Amino acid sequence: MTTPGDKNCWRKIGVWGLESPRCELLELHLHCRNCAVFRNAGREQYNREIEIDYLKRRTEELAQPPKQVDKGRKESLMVFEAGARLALPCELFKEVMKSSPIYKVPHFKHPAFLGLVAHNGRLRLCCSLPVILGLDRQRESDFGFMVILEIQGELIVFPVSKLEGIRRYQASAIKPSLTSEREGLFSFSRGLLENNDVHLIDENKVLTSIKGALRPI
Amino acid sequence: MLYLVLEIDGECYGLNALSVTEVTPLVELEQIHEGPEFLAGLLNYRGRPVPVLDLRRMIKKKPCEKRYCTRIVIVEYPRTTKTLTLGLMAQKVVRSVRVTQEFSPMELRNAPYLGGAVVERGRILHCLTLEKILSPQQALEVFG
Repeated sequence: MTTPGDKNCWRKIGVWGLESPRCELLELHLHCRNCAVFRNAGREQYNREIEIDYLKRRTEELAQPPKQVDKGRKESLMVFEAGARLALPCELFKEVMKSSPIYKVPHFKHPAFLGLVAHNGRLRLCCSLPVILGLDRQRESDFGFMVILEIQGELIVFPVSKLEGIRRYQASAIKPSLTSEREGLFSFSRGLLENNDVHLIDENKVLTSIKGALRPI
Repeated sequence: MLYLVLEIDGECYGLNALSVTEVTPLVELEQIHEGPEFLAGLLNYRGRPVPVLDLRRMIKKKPCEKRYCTRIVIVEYPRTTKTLTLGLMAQKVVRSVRVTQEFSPMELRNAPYLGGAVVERGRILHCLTLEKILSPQQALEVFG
């Protein structure tokens, strides 16, 4: 009969074994990985004679000068798709929700203003980021998610087609975009990321543009 | 306080984790001929030579065995006005413990580096006092 502490007891009377009676320590630990017998067996693995190859490899690794770590400021950005690959600072994102119905406002037509969206019992403005940025019109089939951004205290809902996730970038990794461009996407761009594929958007310019579009209300 | 546990022939020694910079695996050391016995050699630590003490040799008069669990603990050794980088080689450096109780004080003439002991999980854990690990004479030999 196998008793706790015997060689490979976890493969016989433990969770990886089928022998009965079962190990009585399982009552206490529930799983072999919580048991000191298993833990000590694991540590005993390190008690083997060291291999010369391993020793040599580690000697070489440890002799390498430390890598220079860029300690500059980092920015957490949310990368998403809405007409183009865009990025905005994470702290602006108040909520991400599934696409929900947009209530049209009668007698008011502006391509950037899509309507009103109910959020936590309140109605919020819903605007189209691609239209503001001078990209194509957004099709409703592209509304995968809705993001709620807080820009200068205003909560505004934007439909986006895809959320790629949160990335951390060194401030130095953000390349400034061409300042000579005055039109379209580039005029809203604070910088470019990832081989100039992602535009970091200036949220304040977006808000100014929205305010301009809604002036008649 | 968090202590890194080193084992030397079944005895547990705790090193305050605050003084530990890194725990590296056992590597090949540059031998120093005619050097003191307790000095295991010089380590090429990221492009800098760092003296490594063999703790088993210091305490048990036997050199550390070449095993996977034999590791070099890189510490900042306080010396008069500045701290110097020092390596401590010991066996079974595989765990750390959080000690809440006070170490019972101890002052041994022949082992000044023992700063007291506690009982941890049924075993005695000796506290290593880093600044007393080398006698003034030994420190002079190692660091000049």
